[in-house]
Amino acid sequence: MENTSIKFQEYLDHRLSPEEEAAFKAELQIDKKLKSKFVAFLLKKLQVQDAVDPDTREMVSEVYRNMTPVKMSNPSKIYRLNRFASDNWPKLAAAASFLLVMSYLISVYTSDAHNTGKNLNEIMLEPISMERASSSDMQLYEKASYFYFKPKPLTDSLEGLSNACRAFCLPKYYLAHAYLKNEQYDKANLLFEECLKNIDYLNQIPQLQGHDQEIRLNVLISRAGLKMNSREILNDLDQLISELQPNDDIFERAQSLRKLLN
Amino acid sequence: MCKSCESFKLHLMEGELGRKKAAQGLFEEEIIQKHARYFYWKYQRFVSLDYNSWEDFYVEVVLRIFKEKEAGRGPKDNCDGYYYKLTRNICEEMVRSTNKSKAVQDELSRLDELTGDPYIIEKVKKYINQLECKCNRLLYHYHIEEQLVRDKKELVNILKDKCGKEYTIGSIPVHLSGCLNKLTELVENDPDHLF
Repeated sequence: MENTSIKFQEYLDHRLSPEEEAAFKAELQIDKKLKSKFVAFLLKKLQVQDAVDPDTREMVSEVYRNMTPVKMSNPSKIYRLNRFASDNWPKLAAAASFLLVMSYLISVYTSDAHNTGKNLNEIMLEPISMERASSSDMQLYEKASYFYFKPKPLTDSLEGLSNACRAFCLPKYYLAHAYLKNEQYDKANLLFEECLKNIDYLNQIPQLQGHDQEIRLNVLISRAGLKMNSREILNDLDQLISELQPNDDIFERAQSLRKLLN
Repeated sequence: MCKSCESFKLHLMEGELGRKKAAQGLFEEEIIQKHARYFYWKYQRFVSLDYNSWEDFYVEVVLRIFKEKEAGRGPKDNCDGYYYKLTRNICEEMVRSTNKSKAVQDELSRLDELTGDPYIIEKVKKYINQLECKCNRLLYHYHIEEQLVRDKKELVNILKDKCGKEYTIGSIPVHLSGCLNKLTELVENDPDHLF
């Protein structure tokens, strides 16, 4: 009987091979005893095991019948959300951790660039103003100075003036500063390097004489903004600092840049 | 701490009246209602096969919690979690038993084809008719009739009408089980050599 029960169960669970199943079905059609046993087995399987004794069941049902019926309504959204969170907390925790790590990494990445940019902006040295430097008609460099010292440098106008120059000219000096102020380090760096190459030209302009160290510092700031080789920048910066006097305005800014790079 | 946790044991010491009070305490527990509602909603497809109404299901949940707590296995401090898991387990059991019983029902419905005997169900019915009125009616309405009667209250009414005896709703599953045993024995031994 036990063996047949195992076989019946295997058949029910689809655990018999196709050959075994075919053999079982064929046997079932012939063997009357097996047939009755199989039917009995199926009927037995219909039994629902009740874990609770009828007296307790009756008592609890009666208690409920004597109470105000509890109405069925769909569970509230808050409850469902709460349940969803409770049931899926490992997944949610993993997702939250992932997002947290990602947002931290993004913030570190962006804040580094942003903070550096912001501080560099504060460190940069403003160009020398040449507005109304002449009583004659407004010169190109006067216009450039005028465009730069607007509440926000007029980069477009400065670009126009710079493009009009065949060689190096003062609008480029102002445009370099405007780019640096706008954190456009790549463009600023190109122009400041050009300024550095044309330092003799700049020194011929009376207002700019003796300001080459400021340009050198701005060049280093633009390089720092571009995250170029910090060791080289530091070397150049140390060289610049060694040439400065501690009471120079530029000295303090150079030190600030040094702190930032360290 | 849930409301009924502390008072439950104290009520149990008061005898039958105390047991009723303890059960009432569980019915008054709002969190049990919430979990029962949630699972009734979530397992609707399966619940509807085993329980006629939401109330049947709710009573079953409270009953199971009652039995667990009465046996001293109830929650110690995290009542909410305990009730939730117990309700979920009831539903999971329900799903498993529904799937199993569906497989059995499928086999029973194609028994004639499987055994090559077109009258096999009629033979089973003959044995059902040999049983006493209670079993005859219960098995016929619960397992055989085309429109199966699963509502225990309705079954109680049928038994009262046809057999003239009053049974309690809570006793129906026990009678069903006993009757099925009798039928199984009859079919297996096949005293009338019907098979």
